[in-house]
Amino acid sequence: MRGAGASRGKPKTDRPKRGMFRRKRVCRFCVDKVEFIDYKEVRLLIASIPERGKIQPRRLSGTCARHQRKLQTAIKRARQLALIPYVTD
Amino acid sequence: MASVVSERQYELIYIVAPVATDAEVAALQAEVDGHIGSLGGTVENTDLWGRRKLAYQIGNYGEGIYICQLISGPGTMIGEIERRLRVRDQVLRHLTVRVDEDLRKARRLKEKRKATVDRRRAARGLPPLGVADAAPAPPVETPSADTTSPEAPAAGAAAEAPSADPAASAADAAPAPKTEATTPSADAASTDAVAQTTEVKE
Repeated sequence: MRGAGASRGKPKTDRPKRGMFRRKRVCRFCVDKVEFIDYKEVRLLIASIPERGKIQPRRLSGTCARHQRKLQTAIKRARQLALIPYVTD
Repeated sequence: MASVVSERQYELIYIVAPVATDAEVAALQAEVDGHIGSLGGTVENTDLWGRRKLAYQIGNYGEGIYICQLISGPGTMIGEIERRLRVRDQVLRHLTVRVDEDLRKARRLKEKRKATVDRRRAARGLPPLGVADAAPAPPVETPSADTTSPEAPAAGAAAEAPSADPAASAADAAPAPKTEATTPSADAASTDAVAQTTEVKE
């Protein structure tokens, strides 16, 4: 009912005004029901640091705020221990 | 165990320079263990990761020997251990993280989630998820266990009831023609049956 109203009324805010269709973003940690992001799991963290080595923002990754905070802490700890790089040249 | 407030669980990781021999690493580890013991802590688990490539150069070293320990003890112990690790030249990096709170939080969330799943399954008349998991569930979440047990027999009774009903209706249906058939010849054992038959005949 609400969806039908939305389709008639305002333009959809989920999609960009022009260009590609953007898929609905889902937090991958929520999907996997991860409670605790371990800084020792390098393989998990490396997925969240694209080639430059920066932490991928949640606006791009779709991670929820709660998990992004935990992820951020984990990545920073892993960097201190030289498990993952601060920057990649 | 959880009632003891001063007892905290920490994860201590330190990186030893790759130039150190195995004996030196073992000696350093024994020293750290000794410090922990003397400061009122206990080493619960030691995990020697071994030689590992560093993600970036630390000093002149491209690799390091990682030692990860799970220790428990009072919070005052940590400052002293970190100070001693900082003094050692062999230790390139170290990190201490308190883990008991996070682990407890994660465990609580997991239990909560499991309770929700069990409650919803019980509402749908399904048994709790996993027979092996059923053992720890009842003490944690008694209301769901209570709801499951009455519902299961109720569902069983409900399942039995329909099966009993057709038989009963069939039995009712079967004698009914008999009474009709017999009453005219046997001159009505019961007056009701006679009345019925007369009505039918009319």
